[in-house]
Amino acid sequence: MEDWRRIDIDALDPENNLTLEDLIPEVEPVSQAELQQRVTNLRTLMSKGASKDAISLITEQPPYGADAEGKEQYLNTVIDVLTSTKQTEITQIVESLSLEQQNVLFKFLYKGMASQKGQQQGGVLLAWFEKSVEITGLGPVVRYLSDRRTV
Amino acid sequence: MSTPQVFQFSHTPVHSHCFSQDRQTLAITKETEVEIYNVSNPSKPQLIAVLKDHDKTVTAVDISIHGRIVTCSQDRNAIVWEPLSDGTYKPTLVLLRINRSATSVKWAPNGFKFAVGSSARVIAVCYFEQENDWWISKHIKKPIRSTILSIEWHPNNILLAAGSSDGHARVFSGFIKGIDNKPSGASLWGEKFPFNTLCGDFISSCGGWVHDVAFSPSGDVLAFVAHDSTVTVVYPNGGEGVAPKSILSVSTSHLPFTSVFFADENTLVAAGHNRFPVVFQGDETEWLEVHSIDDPKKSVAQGSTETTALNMFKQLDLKGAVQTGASSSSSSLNTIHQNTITQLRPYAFGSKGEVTKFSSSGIDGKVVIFDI
Amino acid sequence: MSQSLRPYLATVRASLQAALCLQDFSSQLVERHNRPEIEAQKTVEAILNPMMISRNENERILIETSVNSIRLSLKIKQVDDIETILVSKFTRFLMSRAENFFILRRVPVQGYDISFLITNFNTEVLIKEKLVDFIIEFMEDVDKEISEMKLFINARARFIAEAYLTPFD
Repeated sequence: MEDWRRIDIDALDPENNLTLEDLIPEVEPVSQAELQQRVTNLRTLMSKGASKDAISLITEQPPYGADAEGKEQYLNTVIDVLTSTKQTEITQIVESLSLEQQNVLFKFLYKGMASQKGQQQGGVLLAWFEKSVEITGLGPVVRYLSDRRTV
Repeated sequence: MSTPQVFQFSHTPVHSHCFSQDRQTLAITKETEVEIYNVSNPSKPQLIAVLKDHDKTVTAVDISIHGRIVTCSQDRNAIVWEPLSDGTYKPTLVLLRINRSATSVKWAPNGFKFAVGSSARVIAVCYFEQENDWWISKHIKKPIRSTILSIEWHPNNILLAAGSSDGHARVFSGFIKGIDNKPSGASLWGEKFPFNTLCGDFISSCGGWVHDVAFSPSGDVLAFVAHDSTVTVVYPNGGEGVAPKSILSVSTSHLPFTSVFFADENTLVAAGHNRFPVVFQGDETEWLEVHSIDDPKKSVAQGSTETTALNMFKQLDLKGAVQTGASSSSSSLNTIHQNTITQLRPYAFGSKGEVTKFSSSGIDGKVVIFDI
Repeated sequence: MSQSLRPYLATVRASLQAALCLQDFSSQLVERHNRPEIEAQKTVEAILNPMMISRNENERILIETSVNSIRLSLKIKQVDDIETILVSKFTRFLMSRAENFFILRRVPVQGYDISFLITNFNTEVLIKEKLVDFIIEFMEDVDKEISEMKLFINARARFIAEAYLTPFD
């Protein structure tokens, strides 16, 4: 017989416990095809060397609604864009972003640093972070922490 | 601007403080006790009473317009302290009927009832029952599903706002039959207000725990601060289900705020983990951060010498510290509060009812009175 | 070395300052308890997104934040076997004396070498800036210590080898 003394009865009460799903606000789903389209756009911009436009595009429409796999692929492209940007341009680019876009940028930076690919490029992402945080202050970092919508 | 007045009582955290109506008495929380000071002579506050019936950390204290003190604590209880003529206080335990910690307590503006927020996912609205000579409570339960972090009454004594750790700021009706007069007709928050009616439910733009809520003096505007460093201002348009006239959110570059209040209809003051108060101004169309009080950036020590410049580069190089000054060299920080500010309260009012002075309490054990 | 160390530490500093905004929060699941939510892991709404900051594949820091506590885990650089042994001995030495360090966790989080647990009670008595300084200093010193020990071991090995081999000269 099951050891009923060890059953976590609190977990069985649907009234009481919030689940992670309850906390995530509703976001528009993003389809695979749409994401693919964005990746292509980004690659074109990158080959033209228009980093500023690329970053602005990335932070304009964050893929909150995509599935984990789609987000992963998108992140890889974003890291490529971030690494291809000249170090000297970073400050200028970050200054041109809106507050909301800055929040999104920090989400990508943190996610990037947690990924395999981002770790290989550690120095680049760190440089991005250091330069951005000088401009934005700690606000976006705090918002990254508490925002349940992830990129 | 005159220099802020600082009371340093001890180095233990002050989670909450409250001045009496005549500003002669100050109550502060200190671990499991509440200390009452006579501050009629501000340079020499006198300890007049210690309220010590709680056996866990006291989380909040409030004084009603009649001078009654209510305290609540993590030991799941709230106690009303009735002042007696000989200067002592008579405690009465409140039947809260909650089984988790009580987190915040506020008297209704008329002083006849109070609300207690708790980790048990309920708000207990408590009132005095003459026949039995005790304080009893009614629970607001739905749709709360997480700890209530803060509570604020509407000036009409009926509505109350609550911020909770699931990121929602909600407005409820705390109407008690027999205590309150029936509210007259429709208002911006709805039409009918039976007990537990949800009159509004808002979230901040990035989510995060709602640390504090505040009504404007007219009660027609709600503001709340969340753990995403934003201040959100809501202009309602007829209760729950009706889209509000506008929801405005100000993102700041500060650390999260833990407390907020309205100085007048168009001015807000917020403070928290950044250790200094920040003033916001605006109206239905836009709110902006205007200036900060006791800003460390303005008071950075002058006359840096070569050694400090060298020091600065060392700091920059070895530790990645961008800011220099007190934070890296001396043992005190260049703000008055040395740690998180836990609560702000209006202190003095001007001729038009606007707040001219406010008091703040901090984890560092200080209570400070600032000019706006 | 400063080339990539500075941005790394600046990032860690900014992240820590943002994460160290703690408050008293008694458990909403267990009556009359007040426990670090990040260790309990039972209340989802009290836990925030984790931050991972990596300098490269071998060196990273994980900051897990909750309403009343943060957990900070360090992965110290280990490029060869000697460093692995040194790091494990060094951190074991510290962690077996954890009660004297207040914020040190007795066991590291899986995948990391050493972990700290900072609660709201720590931030109430310690100045936050100093706490951040301490962590940063620790990160620097640990690297320095390990490479010094490694040099010392190598030097000693060479000395011993020389001493043993001289008779056969």
